[in-house]
Amino acid sequence: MLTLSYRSQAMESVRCSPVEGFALIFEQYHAGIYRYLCRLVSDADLAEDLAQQTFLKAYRALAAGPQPDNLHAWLYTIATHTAFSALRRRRLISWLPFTDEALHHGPGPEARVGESELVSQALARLPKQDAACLLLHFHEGFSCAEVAQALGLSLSAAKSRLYRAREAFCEAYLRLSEEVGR
Amino acid sequence: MSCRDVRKLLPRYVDGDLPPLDVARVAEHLEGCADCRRRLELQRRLAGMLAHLPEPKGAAAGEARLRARMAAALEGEERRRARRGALERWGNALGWAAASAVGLLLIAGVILTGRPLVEQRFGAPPPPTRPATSQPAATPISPTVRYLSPELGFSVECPAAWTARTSGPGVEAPGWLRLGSAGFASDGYVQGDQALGHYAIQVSVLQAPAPAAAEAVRAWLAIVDPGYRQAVGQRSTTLAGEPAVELTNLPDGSREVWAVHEGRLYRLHFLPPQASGRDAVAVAAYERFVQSFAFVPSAETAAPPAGTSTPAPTTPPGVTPTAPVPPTPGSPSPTPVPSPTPTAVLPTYARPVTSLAVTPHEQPIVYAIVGGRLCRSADRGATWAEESIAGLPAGVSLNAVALDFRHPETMYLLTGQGIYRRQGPAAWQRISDLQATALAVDMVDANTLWAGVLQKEAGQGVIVCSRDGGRTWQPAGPEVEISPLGTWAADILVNPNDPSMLWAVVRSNRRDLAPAGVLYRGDREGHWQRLSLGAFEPATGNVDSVEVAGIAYDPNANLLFVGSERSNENAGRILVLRAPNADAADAGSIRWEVAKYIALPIEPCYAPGLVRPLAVDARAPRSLYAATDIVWCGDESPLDRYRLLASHDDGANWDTLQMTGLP
Repeated sequence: MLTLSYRSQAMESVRCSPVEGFALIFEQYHAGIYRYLCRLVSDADLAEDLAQQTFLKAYRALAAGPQPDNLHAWLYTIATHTAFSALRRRRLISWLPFTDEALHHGPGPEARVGESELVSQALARLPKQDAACLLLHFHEGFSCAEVAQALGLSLSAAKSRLYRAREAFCEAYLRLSEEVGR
Repeated sequence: MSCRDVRKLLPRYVDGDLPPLDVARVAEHLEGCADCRRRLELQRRLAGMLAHLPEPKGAAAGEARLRARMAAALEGEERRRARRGALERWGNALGWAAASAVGLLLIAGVILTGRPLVEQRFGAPPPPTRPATSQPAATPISPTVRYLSPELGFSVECPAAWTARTSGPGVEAPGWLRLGSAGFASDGYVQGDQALGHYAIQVSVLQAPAPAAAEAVRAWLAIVDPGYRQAVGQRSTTLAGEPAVELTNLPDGSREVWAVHEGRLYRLHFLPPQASGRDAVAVAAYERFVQSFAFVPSAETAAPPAGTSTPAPTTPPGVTPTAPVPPTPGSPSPTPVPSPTPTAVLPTYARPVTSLAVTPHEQPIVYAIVGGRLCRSADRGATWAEESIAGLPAGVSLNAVALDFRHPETMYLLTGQGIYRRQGPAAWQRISDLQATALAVDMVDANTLWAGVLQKEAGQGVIVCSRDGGRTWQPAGPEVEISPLGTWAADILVNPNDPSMLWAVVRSNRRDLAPAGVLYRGDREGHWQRLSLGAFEPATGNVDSVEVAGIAYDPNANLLFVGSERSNENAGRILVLRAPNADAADAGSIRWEVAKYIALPIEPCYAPGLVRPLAVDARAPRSLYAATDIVWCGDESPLDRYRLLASHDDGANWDTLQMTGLP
């Protein structure tokens, strides 16, 4: 498959030359990682920071240590952990950039939104571990084992988390639907 | 089976992952429950819904910015690697041939195209978003404009060129670096941040319960690397406890808090709730380097001295001019306050111990800077009293205290207005206008002083030396000029067993370029080198990497202690390290071991924390003193944040000193 061979090529390049190889890896993954982080943290600016941190960490690790077996899962694991760390630090802290808009409430759910927007909003309401589970499994195509690796869980714990996350998502989605009168 | 039970099982039901008995029970429930059937339908569609999520807003633009930022970041990474002798490490990891190939590729990339390879790969880095005002050159200050705070009885003196007042947050004032601003609701924690050039700043304000009560406001600034913008408090500049004044009589109802910390003046401008349009307050933060700055009792400054004038402040475009303060028509005239005693606006519970010195007497006296005040304990830190600072200007900020160990009646105070010396019970006398961050007295020649300074200009270095008792200062050597500007030496120690040996702690606002560490001078030749922390080196990705926060030395046991500040790499703990062979002639052979792990909270928040060894009392029972500054994020008393600890077993176990008697 093209994707696999491309990944393989990137990894070979990393082994020979980190800078060259890393450029290939960045090309291959930056869009996906950035969008994943956007959806996970619901904040494009923060996602940009986190994506940069993710790739810097990956760069340092690739230059210094053994290469991961599954680059794809490894990168998303770094991204997920980087996001969780940042969110932990902000847990008691809700950032309000000082702008006119920030001093007023953002658009409420009363604004009519399409289903895809509802899905995004429902994801944003979930605990981030749940959101990460759902995004990795259903959007990024991770297997349960890969989700477990990315979240640092056992396989059975990851499966349970996934089931709970699906239920929580349904709950959030239906509540949002009711709020916007759909 | 209840709806609740069924809903929990629906995902497994959809996946066919339920035992037959449960399948039957769920199916039975679904037949009679429309709501659960709706949820079942949603569960079946869920995979498709999540697989086709909409494009995040602004993703294309964000992706382009990310590409540009990575190019810049990787350039920085390459420079850092080059500076830290990366070639050897790469040689080890990849083999010399491969490393050489990388170097050749990089060089070829630059030579062939005139652009760094990373730029070719990722696109050009973005233009700097902020000119070099983040490191403004220090300019001599002649106080001509005075802003009085009659409520506190202090004026703020600043140069005429400054526009110290503006009519609202977000308005730039010439000469000030705007750090960031935040809007916040009137309850609980509130913050905001902005990335500006190579600084990102967080302004955090905890206010409770009454927004208007100045004493309920605690503010601090955290200057963090842009690449680690979310690392809240990696380097927090804590204004709480610093001498500060609050200006409350500003014409538009806003108020400002001014505080000096480590050679910088910080100005927090608070906009009142009504001006921000709802039940919220806004704050903007600014900083600038200062060479001298004074909080002066207003009784002394009611009338400007002859030859000075009070020019109208420059008003930025689009801003309604406001009169300087005072005079403000209609506002209460400044009332001289009888007592010129400095009054810290920020709350008294915020009392970090930032410096400590123990005299070599048989009954040692412990001196400490606690919350910006000089305090004294004659019983090894159990009870304290405030020590006289007669001779110092009122309101001057105290940074550190130091002793001449061979003549312990001679003490030094490092202040925002220079270095002061006291001999015995005499008053303090200023010996230098150097704004030092650390000081050590030579063990052989008492006229030789070593001082740590904030490096503001090229060629200055972070350590300077005086051979004439502090009158003149020279850089301590070419090695102590540490890139980037904004680095400083936070501690300096002389080894009493070998006075030619010194250690210094170097800290920087740019951890990515200059991680905190220990400098080491092992001989009279004056060559300084960075001491390796071995497995605990910072910025290695190791969870136990040590961002050095402070050092202390026990000359009897020959133990050098190092404390750490939580970094992005540490998880739930910080460390105290000790080196049992710190005086080894070969600095490379110095080995480090963990004396103590100190657990930090990860939940409910990932907050700042540091442990800073301060001093050793080498008499029995040996005591190692250290200060901790740990934000616990819970509902604990703020008193829990700052502690003074003592260990009598080389750092393995620690007691918290209650510090009773403090004012």
